[in-house]
Amino acid sequence: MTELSTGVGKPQLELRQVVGSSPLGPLGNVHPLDFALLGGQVGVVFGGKETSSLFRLIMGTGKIDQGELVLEGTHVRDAKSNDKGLSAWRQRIGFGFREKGLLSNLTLMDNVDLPAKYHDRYHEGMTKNEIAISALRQAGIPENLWHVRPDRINWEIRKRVLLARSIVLDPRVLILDDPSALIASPTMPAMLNWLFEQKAKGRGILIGTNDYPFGLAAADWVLHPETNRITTDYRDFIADEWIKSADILRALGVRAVRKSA
Amino acid sequence: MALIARLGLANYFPWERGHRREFFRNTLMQIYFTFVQSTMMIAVLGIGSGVAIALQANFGLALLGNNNQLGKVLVFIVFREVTPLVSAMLIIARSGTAIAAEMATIKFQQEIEALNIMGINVYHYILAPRIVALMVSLTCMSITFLGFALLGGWIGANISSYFPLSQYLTSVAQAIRPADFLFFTLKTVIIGGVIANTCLQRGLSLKAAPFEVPIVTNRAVVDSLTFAMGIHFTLSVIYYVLYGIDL
Repeated sequence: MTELSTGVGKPQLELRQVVGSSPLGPLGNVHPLDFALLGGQVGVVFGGKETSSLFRLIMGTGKIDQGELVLEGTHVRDAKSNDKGLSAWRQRIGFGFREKGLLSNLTLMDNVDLPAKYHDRYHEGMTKNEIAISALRQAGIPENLWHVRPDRINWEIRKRVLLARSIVLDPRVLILDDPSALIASPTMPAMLNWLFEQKAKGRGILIGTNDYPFGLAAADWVLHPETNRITTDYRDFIADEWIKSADILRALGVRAVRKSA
Repeated sequence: MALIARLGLANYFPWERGHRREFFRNTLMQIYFTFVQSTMMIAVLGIGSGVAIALQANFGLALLGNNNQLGKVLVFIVFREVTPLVSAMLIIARSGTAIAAEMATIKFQQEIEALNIMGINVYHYILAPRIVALMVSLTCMSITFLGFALLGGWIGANISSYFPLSQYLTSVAQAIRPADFLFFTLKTVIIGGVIANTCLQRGLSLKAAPFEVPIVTNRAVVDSLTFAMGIHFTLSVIYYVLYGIDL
């Protein structure tokens, strides 16, 4: 499979000719970043430090020298004009860290529940921890681990808790930093299944990874590493063997979706 | 409200319900770790200090033939000087180091970045609760220390000679001036806030690697001690300039 169909839906995250920098380094100096992520679409960026830098920029921790960064019609410069605006911007984006980022003094349940409690997402009629429980269940965290601290569990579970936390505020855009890292091969289809579920809910998902099979299996489009523009034909920079592996993984993921359905 | 907004202080106050709830929860937890868990240690230190100071003072005063001044000596030494300083040292040793090491570790573990990215205000969630908690805790610790030190003082006074409790309390009460309470509160609140702020800042100054944790913790202790001593000395000087030494 060499051509991927671009998803349909409204643009949720747009980068228009962006040149800037984040605490991790400069971005788009040679070719400005230019892409739009639609709802229900998965975009993949291959790369290491640049990907993390791009994600920090999108989360509002960087500086844009040129171009526009727009989230559902809101410009980042407007959001950054005050702390409330920036907080609201960040609440609309779910961020899945690569491996760190869980609060070590809180249980897994409290870690996932913290954003919901802090931003007051619980309303009358909701049961205790309802939002967090739903997110933990979706990420496949066993119930007996909900009340243990992160140091008591393995890295794969921690990774899945990070993913669960990324959806707890029901964001329109998901940014996942290397979502397949620390995930064992047998559970990779389940991971893809989770990703497809989020996609089916209409979330725009931007993935940064170095895992070609996983990235291609999930992708609707890929950001070309040289032009910094969307492409669906990536044979010029990705070997055929990776593309074949992606097809196998995608088939396994689809089977996992059918099984869970 | 408008003044707070104009000064840019709005960021430091948790206005919204969810923010307030987490702020109070974290503040109470920090007070529990800092004050409640150290009560036994404060009691032992307080009694020990009181006994030692009263014994020494009693011997000295006995040489001068003026034992009735014991209350005054205790107020001079224990209430004005020793209590805020010993409590500050205790809080630096127990909580200051813990806070600095915790901040350094959570920064290295990207927990601070995670909070920021989730739209959680680090001032409300991490910094302000610890500052408020240390201000409250140091005041409470000082009051507790003072209580036990006075008890120890009475025990110490009774080791070498008979000193009735009523006489002892009367001599202490007569030596205390209203301004003592004001300066006692000022010292504990300001020193508590400064210790918390110093330890938080030094802890968060960690750049990247875990080997820096002991370095920043060490720096937090040294700087906190220096600031605490400096503030204590300055406030004592102001007190004595304003009210004089009432011998």
